[in-house]
Amino acid sequence: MNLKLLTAFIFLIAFSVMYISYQTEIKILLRQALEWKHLNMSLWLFIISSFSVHYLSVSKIANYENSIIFKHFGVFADSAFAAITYGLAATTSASILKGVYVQEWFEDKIYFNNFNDIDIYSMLVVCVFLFGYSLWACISSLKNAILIGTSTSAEAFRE
Amino acid sequence: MRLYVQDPDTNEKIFIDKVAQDKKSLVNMLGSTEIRVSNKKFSINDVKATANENTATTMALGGVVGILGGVPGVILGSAIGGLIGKSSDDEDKLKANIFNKSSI
Repeated sequence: MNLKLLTAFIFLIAFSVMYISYQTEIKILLRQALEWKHLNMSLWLFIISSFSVHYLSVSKIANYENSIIFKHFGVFADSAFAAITYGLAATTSASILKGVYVQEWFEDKIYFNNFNDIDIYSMLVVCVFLFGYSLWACISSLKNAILIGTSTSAEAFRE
Repeated sequence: MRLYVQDPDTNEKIFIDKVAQDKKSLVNMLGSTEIRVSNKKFSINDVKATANENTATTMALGGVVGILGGVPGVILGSAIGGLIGKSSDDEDKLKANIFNKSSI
């Protein structure tokens, strides 16, 4: 079996056990994180930094294969577009998650009036996906930048 | 996908800073069928591709973000993360295979 997958599986089991054991404390911690007034700013900072580092590393590669935006408008437009779209997706989904989380788990504030449980849980699933996907895109671009930065230069051999 | 050559002395993989769909594209990009990497001479045929592995990381990230939905959220998040990572890995493996099977 793949060792990385096994490690991820053990990590998730441990993570779930920890959540079950300290459910109240973790829920309060998550609420505090979602209600943190600097959350949006921190997300924007993380996303813009990730794509800036990615832009700086990829701009050296002449034929870096990427999206349609990259092919038509170049590396700067591609990185800027990615930072804006993922930034908006992450911050908006974090705000909706805050509302859904507080309303469903704490029930002391109503963020969504006239929404039934199925709508609330649908929003939770969609926003968790959107938030996770945006974070993954940033982590992935940072990882790519580091991999490119640590690779060795290859050039044509001339006698 | 990353391209590398194997150091003949140490057998270590030396990852190069170039990206190409196949060996012909790499020759066109570099303008030569022989390359210099770390002051050593290699043929383009020595260049191999290896696929990235993201499944475990996306699975873990999905589980962590899924905590907002409790334990079912962790299970669902890790399953969705794992599927996305697997799909990305499969695509990357296909690209690496195409490169490795290509010729100059």
